[in-house]
Amino acid sequence: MNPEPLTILSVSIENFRGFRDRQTIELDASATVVSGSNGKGKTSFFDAVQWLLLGSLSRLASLASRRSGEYIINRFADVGALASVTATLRLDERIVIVSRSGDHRQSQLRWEAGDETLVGAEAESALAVGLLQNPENSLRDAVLTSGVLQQDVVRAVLEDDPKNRYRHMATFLGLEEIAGFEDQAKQGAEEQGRAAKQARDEHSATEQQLRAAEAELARLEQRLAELPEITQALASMQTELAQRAPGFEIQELPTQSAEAVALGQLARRVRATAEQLMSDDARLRDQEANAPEVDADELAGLRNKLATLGQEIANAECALELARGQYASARQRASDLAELAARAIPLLGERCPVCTQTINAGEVEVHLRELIDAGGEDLTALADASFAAEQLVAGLEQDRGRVRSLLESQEVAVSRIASVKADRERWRQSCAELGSSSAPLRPDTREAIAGGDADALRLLTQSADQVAATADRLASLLATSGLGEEVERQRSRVDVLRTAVAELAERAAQQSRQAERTKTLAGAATRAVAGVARERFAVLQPVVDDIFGRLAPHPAFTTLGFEMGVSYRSGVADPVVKDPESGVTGDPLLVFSSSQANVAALTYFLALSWTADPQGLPFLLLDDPLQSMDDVNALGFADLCRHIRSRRQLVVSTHERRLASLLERKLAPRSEGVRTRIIRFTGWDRGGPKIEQEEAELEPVGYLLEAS
Amino acid sequence: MTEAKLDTRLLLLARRILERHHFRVQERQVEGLEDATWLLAESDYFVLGVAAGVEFDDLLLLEGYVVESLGRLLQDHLGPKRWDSYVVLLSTSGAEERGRPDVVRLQHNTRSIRRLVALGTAAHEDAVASALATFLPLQEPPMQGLRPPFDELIEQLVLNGVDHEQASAAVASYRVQRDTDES
Repeated sequence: MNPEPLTILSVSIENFRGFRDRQTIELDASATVVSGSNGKGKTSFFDAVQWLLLGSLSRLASLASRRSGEYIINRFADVGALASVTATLRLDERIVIVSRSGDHRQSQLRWEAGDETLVGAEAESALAVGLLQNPENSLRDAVLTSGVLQQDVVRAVLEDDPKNRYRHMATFLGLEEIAGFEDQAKQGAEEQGRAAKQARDEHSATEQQLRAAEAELARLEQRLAELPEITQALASMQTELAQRAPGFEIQELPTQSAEAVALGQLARRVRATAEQLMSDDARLRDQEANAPEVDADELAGLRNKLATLGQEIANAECALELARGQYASARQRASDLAELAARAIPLLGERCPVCTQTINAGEVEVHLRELIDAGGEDLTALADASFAAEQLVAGLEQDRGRVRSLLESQEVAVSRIASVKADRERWRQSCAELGSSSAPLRPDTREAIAGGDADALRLLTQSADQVAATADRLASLLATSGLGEEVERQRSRVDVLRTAVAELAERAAQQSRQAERTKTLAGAATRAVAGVARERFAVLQPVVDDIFGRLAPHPAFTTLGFEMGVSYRSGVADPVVKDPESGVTGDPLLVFSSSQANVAALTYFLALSWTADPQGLPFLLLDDPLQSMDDVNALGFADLCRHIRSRRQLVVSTHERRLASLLERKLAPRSEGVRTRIIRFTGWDRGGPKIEQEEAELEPVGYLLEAS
Repeated sequence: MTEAKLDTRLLLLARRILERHHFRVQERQVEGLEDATWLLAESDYFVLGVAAGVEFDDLLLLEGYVVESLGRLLQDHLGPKRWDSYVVLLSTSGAEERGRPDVVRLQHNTRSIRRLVALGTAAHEDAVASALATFLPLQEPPMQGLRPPFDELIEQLVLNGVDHEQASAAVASYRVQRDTDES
């Protein structure tokens, strides 16, 4: 058997709305029936739970006439006292005590779980996570749409106009948090449209300013060029340059100081380049003059000689090796023979031990000593031969060293000559580049420089000095004249405006693109939110059908739904009931009685709570959900509550004595481990409600039939 | 008794559904009517008498017999369950007669036993289960429950022509703004 769904174990209320004195209501049961006639404090109890969870009572906040109108603190509480609601919860097998204290303006939540104590935002967050499991879900939406049902809120959904009803339904479906998205998207599109227009206007205005500034600059420059002292100075400088800077050919001197400055800078760069080329030319000439001469035949002869010597050395080394080997062998043989003779001589007897002939020991000894001496002479000859071979190899090595040294010096000379040639080639290339540069040079000067003419380079350095000096004087003249300064200021202004126009053009383009995107987004937002609502209804619909069928408020209109759509760019929702047999449809508010319409509203609330499983709230609090219902509806509702309590801790209240009695009987426990609490609000005075509490007794259940 | 036309298919389906939901079920003879049966079914919470006829008039006849028979069976040892007794009357025809005064009167007659009349109940399991819904668990909620609305919103924005990146960014921006406003 599944454990009872049990989250709220008790709620203590003090100085809150109808409660002044502290009272604790025990709720440790899967079903609690709260009863009592109107005005006894039942709704204050439901309000207390909602305020504890959310810190607000939006239903009452909208009714308060002034912001200072206190509606949370009990009117009979001591001055300065704060409202306080505390609940003991069981969350994931942990016992948690949450308490909220405050007034209608502000309140603070406290969370205590074992050693852990959280306050304020951390406590709110812990409570939301503890109750909803999924931190993405909004506790407020969950409480208002599927946790705590208050009848007037539900009925308002059905009675509103289609647009407001759509908004209410969105809230009802847990979509309130996205309903505001439409507004923000529309507002964003409008703001972005205004921003784009403003950017375009700003760009246009700045562009006009630029055009005007450019025209003014042209006018000032024209005036400056036409000033007598400027024209005279320009003519004088032109003549001066023609005489003193023959390497340059300047058709017309600049009439703006910035251009004169640029001309001076160009002339200096030309001068520096020409000077460098002249310096390089002198260095190269010196290197070319001092370059060593190399005889190619001699170089080839040396290379051949070196190769021949290498071969001869190899041969001589072979001969040396051979002689050394022979000498070593001969030395070994002579040593062996001498050792043998030295041992044999003392052993010589009178007769041969083999043939028994008489031996002349003196003669044999002499003979042996001759043999030993003869070996010594051979060794001397072989040692001489080996020494001669060594001498030959050494002589050849010396020859090869000399030849190699000669060859290396020749090769260094060859490399040095090649390097100088490469430098000269690069120098010519640089001359050609200078000759074809953008500097205003005379054609014959260009040609001479490109050809590496040293005189032309010298002439160019002198001319460039002159041009630079003249350009400096001209720039100074143009800048220091009154009109020149004005031209410079205007030019700066034009530059600033050009930069601004470019930036504004880019900004305007960006804003326009963004405006187009936000416009598309705004258009899609309404349809998207309606689409989400439709999808949610589709998920809900089978459960709605099931619940509506059980409550059966009408004999013919047996199905209930909402038609969601978009009208004039706004979402609309129209409730509709249908007779499946005839296909006839109608608005439940028009075809239903008040109590039947209540059943329709309750159906959606219960369907949302049920469908949100397992991510929804683990409890369901229904404050007087059905009023003026007939017996059949009441029986259907009571039977439905039996099923709901299997998954949700259920707290249901009614002011009708008959319904209370029915619910107490229907929800009474039928097996061990299932509990039902009965809370009766029997009276009220300034101290608060008078409450009787008890746990319903388990009555034994009998059977007519044997279990199969 | 006057002859009533019975619908055995509906009764068979009702039995199958109730047994699947752990009801104890027994077929009983309608007294005075040969080969006519009704179902006695009970669970921890309910005691039911289920009968099925072809037309509403047949149900009217059956109702009297089943209410009387069931009433006789209800005993003190059943405990509180004796107050949760129902007679369920099923017929495939008569859907158009649901609002007829005598049908409504029968539905609202809760004297000793509540009557549930399901006219126009098709002879298949879903329809019969719907007629018996009061005694069966609520439909299972969708396995995944409801998806976070912002995920659904992004999906719908994309379906309505907004590129995914922009949709995600717009929704994220909205959420930040909303959280800031709330705090």
